[in-house]
Amino acid sequence: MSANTAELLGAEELGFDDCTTPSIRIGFRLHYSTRQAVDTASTTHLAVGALQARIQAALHYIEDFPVSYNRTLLAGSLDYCIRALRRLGNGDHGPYKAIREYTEFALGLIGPYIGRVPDQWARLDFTLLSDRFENLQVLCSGGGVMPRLEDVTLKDIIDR
Amino acid sequence: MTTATERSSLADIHYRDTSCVLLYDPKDLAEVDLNLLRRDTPFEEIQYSKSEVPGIAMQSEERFIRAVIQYTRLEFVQMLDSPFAERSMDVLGQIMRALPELSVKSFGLNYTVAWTTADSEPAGQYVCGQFLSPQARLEEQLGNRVFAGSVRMFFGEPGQYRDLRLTPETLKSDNVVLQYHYHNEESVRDRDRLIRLLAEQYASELPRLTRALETIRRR
Repeated sequence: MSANTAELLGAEELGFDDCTTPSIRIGFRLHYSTRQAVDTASTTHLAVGALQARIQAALHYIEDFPVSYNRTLLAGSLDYCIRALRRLGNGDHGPYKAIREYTEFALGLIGPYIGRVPDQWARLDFTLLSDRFENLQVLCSGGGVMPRLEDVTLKDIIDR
Repeated sequence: MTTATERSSLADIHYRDTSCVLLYDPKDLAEVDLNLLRRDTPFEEIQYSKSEVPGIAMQSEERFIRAVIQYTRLEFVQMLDSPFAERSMDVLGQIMRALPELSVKSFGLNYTVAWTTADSEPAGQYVCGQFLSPQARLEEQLGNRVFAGSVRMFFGEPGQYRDLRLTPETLKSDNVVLQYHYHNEESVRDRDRLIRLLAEQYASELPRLTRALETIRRR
C-alpha cells in the first residue's frame, strides 16, 4: 500500500469525529503491526496468536461503544472467535480462514469509530454481520472446532 | 457562483476543505465494482485495501479531491480554496451512482474557513475575547493568564443540527479556524433522492454559514 493510501485510510490524525471529517485514526495503528503476521493465511501459532491479540484489542474498544444489540453481537461473536481460535488444530485451515475473514469484517465496523461513536452506529442494521456469524458457526461446528453458540456447554467455555 | 452576501462580508475569508460523510448499514465492499468507479468517476488513483482498516481509497491530485469508502462510512473531501458556492457535489453523485445502493442512516456536511485576526492578535486570545466572559475573574480563580481558548456549540435539534467549532490554528497563530458541520439523522435509501438532498442541503447551508460567520466576527 502506498503512503498516500495509508494517509487516506487514516494514518493522519486530525482529531475530528464521526460525520465531521477524517475519522479513521487509531484503528490503523492499533492493527497495523499485528496484521503483518496474519497476512500469511497460515494457521501457524504466531498467526493465530496475532489474530487473537487483535480481537482482544477490539473487544477492549467495544466496551466504549453504546450498549446496543450491535455491540452485543460484535462482542459476543468476537469472543466466540477467540474461543474457536484456541481450539484450532494444525489442519483447520478452513475454519481459521473463515474466522480471520469474519474478524476483518467485524473490525471494519469498529475501526472508524474508535474514540467517538456516533449515536446512529447503534441503529445500523447489522444483519449482514449476523448472517456471516451464522455461517461461521456452521463451519466451525461442522469441522468439530467449536459448537454453534446455542449448543455451547460450560465445558466448551472452560476448556482451552 | 459566489453570492452577494458571501462577497461583501467574507472578503478576507480563506476557504478550505469541504466534505460530506455518509453513515450507512454495513455494505460488503466486495460488492463494489472498482471498474465502474474507475470508469465513472474522475479519480486517478483508486485502491482497495483489505489490510489495516478495510476500505477503498480514491484520490485525484489534479482535482484536489479524495474519498474513502468503508463498510459503514463514506467520506468525500474537496481540498480546495475556492468559495464554497463555486464547488459542485457532482463527483459525489458520480461515486454514489457507481456504488451499490446504500441504506444511509445519517449524513453530515462540513465546511472549513479561516481568517486572520486584525493587528495580528493571537487567535486564541481573539476567541477568548469573543466568548470567554468574564475572563478576569476566571484568570483570578485559575491563578494564571488565559492566553487561548476554543469554542464549540451546537444549534438546531438533536436529529438535525449544526456543530460549530472555533479554534486558533495553533496556539501562537493569528489564524482563526471555523469548522461548520451540518448533521442530519435521516434514513434515505433512494440514491437519486439522497444525491439531490445532499446537493440542496450543501447549497442551503451556505447562507446559514455566512450568517454564523458574520455573527461571530461582529461580537
